[in-house]
Amino acid sequence: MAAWGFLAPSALHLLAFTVAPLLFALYLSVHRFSPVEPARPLIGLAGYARALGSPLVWAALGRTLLYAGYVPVSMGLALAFALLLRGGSRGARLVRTLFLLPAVSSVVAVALVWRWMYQPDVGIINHLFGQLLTRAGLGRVDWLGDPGVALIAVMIVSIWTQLGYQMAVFHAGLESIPRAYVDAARVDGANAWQRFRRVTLPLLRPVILFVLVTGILGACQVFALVAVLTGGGPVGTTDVIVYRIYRTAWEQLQFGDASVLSLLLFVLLLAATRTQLRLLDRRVEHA
Amino acid sequence: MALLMLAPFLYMVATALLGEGDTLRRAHPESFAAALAAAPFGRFFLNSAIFSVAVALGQVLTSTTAAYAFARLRFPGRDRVFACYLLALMLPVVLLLVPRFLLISALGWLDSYQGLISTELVSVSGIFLLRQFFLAIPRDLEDAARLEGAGEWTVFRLVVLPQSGPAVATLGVLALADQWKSFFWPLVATSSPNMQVLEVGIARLHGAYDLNWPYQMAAATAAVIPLLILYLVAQRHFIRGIELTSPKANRARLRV
Repeated sequence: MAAWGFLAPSALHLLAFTVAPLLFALYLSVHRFSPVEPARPLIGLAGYARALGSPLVWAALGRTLLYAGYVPVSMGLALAFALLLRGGSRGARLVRTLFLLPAVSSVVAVALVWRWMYQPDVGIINHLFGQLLTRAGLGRVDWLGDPGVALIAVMIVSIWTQLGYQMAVFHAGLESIPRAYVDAARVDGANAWQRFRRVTLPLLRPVILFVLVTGILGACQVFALVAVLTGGGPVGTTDVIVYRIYRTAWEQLQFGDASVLSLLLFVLLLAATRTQLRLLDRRVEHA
Repeated sequence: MALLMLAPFLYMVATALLGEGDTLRRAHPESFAAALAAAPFGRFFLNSAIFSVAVALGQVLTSTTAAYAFARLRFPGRDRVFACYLLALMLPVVLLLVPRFLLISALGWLDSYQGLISTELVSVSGIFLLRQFFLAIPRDLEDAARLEGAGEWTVFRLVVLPQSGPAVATLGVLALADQWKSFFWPLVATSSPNMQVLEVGIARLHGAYDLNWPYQMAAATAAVIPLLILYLVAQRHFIRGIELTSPKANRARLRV
């Protein structure tokens, strides 16, 4: 049959490099498995019990959730900028182009640049905003070295990288709203805020939901940015779950434990996505 | 505000060329050259280019065929199979990393191009993007060809592919950029400097030259420039990729 001929390349690849690895991850999760040890005994669900009882794991999950809090913040900013920068004028187009630059460029390069800018002594951020920070009673901020600040510093970089992408998605969504709807509201005497609140925002719900769900999924899997910016430090305050999994697998060489943590993350992400779709979709229905 | 988005890039290039601090008046292009000589950057570039071009080509091939089947062909279980494909998007990248590492290690492909490239040759989001495109183009021409007795492969090759140039270009550009930025899998799948891609190479450099900021900024600039050029040349493809994969505003649910 022709259809299976067209599907064969992708279907066979998915079987070999996605389905089989998924099953293998399940196998690994019930064994004590290290690449450097020949003995790989079956331990059943003991790995899961250990992971769920580990304060390190819970702390990493909590930190990841906290970090994902940047998503709604950058979404608010992105929506505001998308509304401000509507239209096909040259200036608006140029600004949208510039905003997308951080999302397009290399994560490792971005992390290196921000590490340099965040330097407490010679970095440009303390140099430019030092006086302001001192006046606010904060003194000199050690952005990536202060346990109380480091996660926020990582979140700031994430907002900077994601803002332009989210703005572009909102822009595409806004462009797909027929002008007639907004014009009709204007004729009926609705002011700018009412038009936004009663017409634009409800129509944009599916777009907002999409950006939120994909944004949270991405944020919960942050790795490269953390690996280069902080390496999980200082004193583990930016040790997010995927970084923890990476260290479990490639520093402690505990492939079984790493698979347990990855599968737990998968289940949590599925549950979180379902919850978001449920809650927000219901609100759309009743709007 | 736009300047605020741009500032870190300008600062990166300035540090790379001028050195840090007070020497702003004299350019030090030689420090840039020295930084690029501090690691096998030529090799990193070559590896990144081979890796991203090979993967982009593979993804275009597997995505066009699969997207055509999902958008145009009728076969039992089509929607269920498509739903299974989409489920693969929900899998966290990190979950597949360990088993894929063991898989290519069993094949003897660790630290090789085969190992680096083979796992990445299918992109479900690429299939989704092309399917959206195929659903949006009229099918009159295809139906005409089918009436003439052309088989599905002929229709695909002679009718669909020639019409899909822009969409295939979009997918190619996005895949190229995506793989150039790829960090996690190349970090795990390669170990020798000879096989490292640029992203992994410059991340390692920061360990070796921890406080040498001009060196690090030179390396970062070198990694960003190809992406910037790709973005400036193929900007509309990045925008179209966003438009094709994100949902439209909802019209049906408006209560007037």
